[in-house]
Amino acid sequence: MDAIIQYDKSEFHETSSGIKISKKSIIKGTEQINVSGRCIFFNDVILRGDLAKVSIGKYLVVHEKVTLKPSYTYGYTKESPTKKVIKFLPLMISDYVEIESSSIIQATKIGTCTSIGKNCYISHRCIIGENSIILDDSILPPDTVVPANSVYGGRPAVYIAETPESTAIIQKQKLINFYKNFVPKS
Amino acid sequence: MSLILSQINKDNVKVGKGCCIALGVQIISEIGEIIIGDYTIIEEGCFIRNNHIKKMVIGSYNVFEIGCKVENTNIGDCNVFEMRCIIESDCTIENNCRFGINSRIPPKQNLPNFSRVYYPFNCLKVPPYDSSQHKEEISELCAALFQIGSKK
Repeated sequence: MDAIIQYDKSEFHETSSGIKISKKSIIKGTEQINVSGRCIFFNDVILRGDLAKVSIGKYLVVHEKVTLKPSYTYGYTKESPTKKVIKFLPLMISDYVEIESSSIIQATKIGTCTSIGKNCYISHRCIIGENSIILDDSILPPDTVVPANSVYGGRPAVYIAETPESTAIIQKQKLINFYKNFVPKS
Repeated sequence: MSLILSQINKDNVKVGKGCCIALGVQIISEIGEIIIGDYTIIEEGCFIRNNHIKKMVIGSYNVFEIGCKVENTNIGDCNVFEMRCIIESDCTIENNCRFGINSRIPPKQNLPNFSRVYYPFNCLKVPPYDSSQHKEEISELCAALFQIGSKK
């Protein structure tokens, strides 16, 4: 049986699709943020949706003091086909992801059923494959591609091990139970 | 014109043109002033503080990434401070330096031009280069951020 976490109803904001956002978090540019449902954002989360589109899946849990920010590249666009111009890349976070406290995330894509540890630094334009685990205190340099089913850790982060085939099911059950047990104080 | 998204005490802190200061930044100057140059980018969660009576000067074309912490140091031009680096009090930093992620500089150090600092505190020196490309890129980034920020 997982522990039941009770929160103060005055500190969290709940929407109709089940998203629970702490009132102390800073979320900017809500027109470009697309959340599927049933996510939890704890205190001091900074989420910048004004730079580029942010699309988030279901059952995401973001712990305290995490910053989520889209990254940028230099590329050609329709308006300037000859000269390179700054483009902000959209941020895509899939379903069943857990991001632990004090991490900084500037990736472009995070796959399903991944878990990211505490104090991680994920730099610009990283792509994290599905079912992977990023250990605590790891630094991913810019443009790294983490393949599916892998464990990455260290400073700089390197491939450590392969995750077992049951990580997807365990992660899904863990986050569904976390959301079910996150209950307001009565 | 600069884009300032967090609350700053404008009497003691002077910001140059084209700067972009993001959310959650704390710039604290108790007695002495803080003077920030042109086209600097200060990202989320940074912490800049001046405890001395003398003024603290930060040059132009600098980039302070997410979570940096700077106290009582004079900084030159074209430096890059990557995520969560900590610079303790009474250092001086010259031009064109680069500080890696989570590096930490003890108090009272003088860093010359073109030095590179990696985690935890390794320091290298790099042969000099022309910093005009860096200035162009940063002024373009500032223009893009200013366009997005003033769209409301």
